Amino acid sequence: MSSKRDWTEDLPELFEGYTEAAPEGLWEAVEAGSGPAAGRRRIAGWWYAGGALLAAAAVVAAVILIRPAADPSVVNVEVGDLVAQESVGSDTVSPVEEAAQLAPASPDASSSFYPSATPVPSQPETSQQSKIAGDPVGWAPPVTVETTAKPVGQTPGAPKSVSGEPETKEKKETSTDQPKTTVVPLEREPLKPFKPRQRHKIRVQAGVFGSGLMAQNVVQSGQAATHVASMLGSAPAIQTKSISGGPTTFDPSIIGRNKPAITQNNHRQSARLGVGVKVNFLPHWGVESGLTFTTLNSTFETTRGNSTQIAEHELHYLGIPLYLHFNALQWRGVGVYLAAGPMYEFTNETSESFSTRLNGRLISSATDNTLQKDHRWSVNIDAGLQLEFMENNAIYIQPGFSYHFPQQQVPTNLQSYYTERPASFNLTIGYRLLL
Amino acid sequence: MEARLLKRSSASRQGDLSEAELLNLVRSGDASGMRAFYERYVGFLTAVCSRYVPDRAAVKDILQEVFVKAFDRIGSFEYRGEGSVKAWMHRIVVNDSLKFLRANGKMKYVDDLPDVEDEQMDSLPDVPVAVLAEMIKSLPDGYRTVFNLFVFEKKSHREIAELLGIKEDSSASQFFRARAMLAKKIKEYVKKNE
Repeated sequence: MSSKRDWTEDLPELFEGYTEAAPEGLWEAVEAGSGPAAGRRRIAGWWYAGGALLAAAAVVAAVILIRPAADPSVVNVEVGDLVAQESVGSDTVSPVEEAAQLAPASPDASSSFYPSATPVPSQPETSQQSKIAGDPVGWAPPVTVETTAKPVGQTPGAPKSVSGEPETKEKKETSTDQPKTTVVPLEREPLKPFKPRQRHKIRVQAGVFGSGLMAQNVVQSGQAATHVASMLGSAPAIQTKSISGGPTTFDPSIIGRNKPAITQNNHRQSARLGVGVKVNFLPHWGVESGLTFTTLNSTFETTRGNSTQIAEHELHYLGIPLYLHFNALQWRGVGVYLAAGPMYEFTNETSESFSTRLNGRLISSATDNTLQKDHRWSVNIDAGLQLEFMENNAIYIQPGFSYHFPQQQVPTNLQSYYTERPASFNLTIGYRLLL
Repeated sequence: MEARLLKRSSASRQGDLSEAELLNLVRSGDASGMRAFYERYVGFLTAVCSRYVPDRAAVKDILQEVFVKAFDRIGSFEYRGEGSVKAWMHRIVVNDSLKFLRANGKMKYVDDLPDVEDEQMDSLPDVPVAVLAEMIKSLPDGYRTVFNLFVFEKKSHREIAELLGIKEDSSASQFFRARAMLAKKIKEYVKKNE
């Protein structure tokens, strides 16, 4: 006895030849979205993909070829090493005073933006000693220090000092028989007029560190010291504070002014966050714009003997990209694409901090949240993976390669990941509205 | 071969083309071949899509996407005999319709549904297909989707459960309620037109 057949089983056969009138204007819509040469376009799509990859390779190759060979931070050290000579035998000063001494002692000394090889007599050694003598217990950092002096000829991007005087990026220890000199403020300038007298051990590392990308420069100089508090060029005022429980005794000899200095600059770039709107104008092609958020961190650390000076800054960039998209693959809600185009970025928030440590103990710190204005253009080429989790809503992860053009219009000595590694890889994650 | 096909691509002959010939025409980029391809399947696909998505404007959007997708991917389609193109297009339409329903939050399958009287019906009465189609369209979204997948796509409740992300029991209960509701509508129609 056969089982009873359900009436619903007859429906498929009944509907077999059933048709309905197509919605009005459907063919026109299909034509607009597809065109008559779909077959040819499919083949052309592979050509486009190949072309896009070739273009990407060409951009990468061009960037690598035109990239300057020398690392800018190393240049700074060498210039400073040659020019920013200062007195020796002044071990009886605190680290902050030491930093202050790195600044030019007279307007004349700082009147030139460019490095000067002419030695400038430094302040008498006795004046430094008297400062210490005035504080029998030990050195304590000033409560508030403002940078107000802007020497003639100094550019807006010239370095500043926590001690209120313009300071140099670099300083140098010389042998005791050399004349005492003060320091002139330095920018990244051509090395040609100055031939290095010291051999520097330079190591440059780059790679992925933690949540972002990192560029690290280590400079070791036999007798040179690099001043670290000059990473930003135009902060008008810096608030400093003494650390409670600071040193009650202070042995100036531990500063080790004649000891080698090691400067280590670390530049990091966080993953880029993005929000964008993408419009497809052809089945495989689209344009996207939106907003990106990137954080750059830099640490400038100089160690000399037992003294360590650390300067850090954090720059938040907002970016407006304009990308051309090539949708290479699409499977259900997952898409693979190539994106390329320019991006304009500008800082919307910056902060910097300085600290000095003796024997690992924090003895002073300073912070400054003044906005360091910076804006720059970059060209980018990325490959992305997109997940459309809802209709027209997607999240994406987009590794890529970018080249940040040097800031041309507003002189600045701002050092960051963008300046130290203008050609670099990056990672963008974000949300995209698909239209 | 291609020349022969191109010669045959005149509008007057396209209705006689086999699926394979039509496929080759579309692959060669022939505009009239594409139009013929569209004309051949659009009625059938509209009926299928409308069973899942009653909204006419949504049907248009879905079918546009389906045809664009089909023309775009037809080069990689592996022809497996007469009817395989139609089956392929049918599959695309169903997938895109489900995608649309999912994206628009229309695939809600709640278990605490009101009780539906089990309408017994031994055989399908003589009801026009268009009327049956309208009755299916009038089912609630969840009922309709499961009913279509079970009856027309011949999916098991396990497959439907996996496809829609629901429990197997939920799929079965949705189907039985849909069937009961449809049987009631059919009976009412028959009674009305006696």
